[in-house]
Amino acid sequence: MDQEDTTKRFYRLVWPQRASVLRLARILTGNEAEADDLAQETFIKAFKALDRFVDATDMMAWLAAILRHARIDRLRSQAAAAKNVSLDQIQMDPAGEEESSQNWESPQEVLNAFGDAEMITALQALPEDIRWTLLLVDVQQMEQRDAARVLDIPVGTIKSRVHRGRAMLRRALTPLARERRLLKCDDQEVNRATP
Amino acid sequence: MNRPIPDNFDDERDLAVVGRLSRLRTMPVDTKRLERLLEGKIPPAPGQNRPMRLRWLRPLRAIAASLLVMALIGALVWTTSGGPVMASAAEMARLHRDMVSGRVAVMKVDSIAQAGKLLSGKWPDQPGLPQAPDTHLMACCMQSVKDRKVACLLFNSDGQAVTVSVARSSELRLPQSPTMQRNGQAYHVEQSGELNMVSTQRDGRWICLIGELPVDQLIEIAHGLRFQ
Repeated sequence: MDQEDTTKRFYRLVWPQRASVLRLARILTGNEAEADDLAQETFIKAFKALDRFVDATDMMAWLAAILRHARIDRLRSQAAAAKNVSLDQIQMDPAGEEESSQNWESPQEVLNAFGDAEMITALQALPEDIRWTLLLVDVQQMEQRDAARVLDIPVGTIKSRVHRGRAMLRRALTPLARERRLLKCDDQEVNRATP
Repeated sequence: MNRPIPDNFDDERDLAVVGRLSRLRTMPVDTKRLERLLEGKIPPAPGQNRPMRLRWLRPLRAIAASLLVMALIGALVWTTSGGPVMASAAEMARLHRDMVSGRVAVMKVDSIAQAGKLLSGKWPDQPGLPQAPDTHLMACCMQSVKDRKVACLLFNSDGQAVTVSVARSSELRLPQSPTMQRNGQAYHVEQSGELNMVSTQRDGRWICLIGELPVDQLIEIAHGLRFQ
């Protein structure tokens, strides 16, 4: 494929996804400038590798995989993988999770009270691999098997990460929800704390 | 073939997280900086480098485009606000499948009162929700069908999922399909794949039931609906 054909194909298939890719990068990094840079790198790599994209397959899944590799390269080169804690290191505390979210009487109401920026900030508290899973499955609404392909892990791992991730996200949001008195037991807790 | 209902409504909190996160998918982002960053690194789109002599036309083109957009919006508003719309069987079938498979965010409920309370937050003047006899209410959600609000309830009837959708009859109209009568009430019957759909109007409400149950059973349930 010559340069002109590649360019035409790029603007037909890849370019329309720029907002989606940028959004994904923005939610992943929680930082606008970093997201722009990451998305830029993704598009440059996508342009160079476009002859490897198979028509009629999911372009967004393909771009997400490129973005993920670009992100890994960046984290490695910056040695900034501090948040990229392996799942082996994360031991969910079921009792703690239960304790922190048992008073989410109307979870939808509580979650709807948070803005996009607050949700993105909360997602930053999650380990990178868990965040990626929620991004693909819950934000992008990707089929679990497609998400497994992007992340190069078994579907079973996706299922487990999705479950853990949602619980961890609620836990990450609990302090803010408590601060805003969105949780059922807030008054009782305040009363207990006040002599 | 009748399929059992998957057990995917086990945690209302998970569904709430899915619903909130899925909204991030439509979060607005400004791509201008990204586009500037990519300038020079990726060849411009074919035909993008126009001769300088045509640049003076740009403002005129922008004005013409704005007028065209305004005309299109006007036409759209005019065509969509002119009365009730029809929900196709395919549309309702997709909605039913999405609810059953958990592809849309639903709220787990076990009573009509609870569903009414949850949905009234999103739709304060909703047309009222029905209780269906001999069924178990599992979940509810509010959906939009051709920009018209529809309250959807997912019931379990003898192990089969049935979605009951309710809207104002001024918003949604019945299809031109064969009808079956039950006690003087006409039920429009349609099919989409393995799903049967019956719809009717009663007391100013448009009511639609869809599921794998046979048509006569759906009509039986529809006939027994009691609105709160």
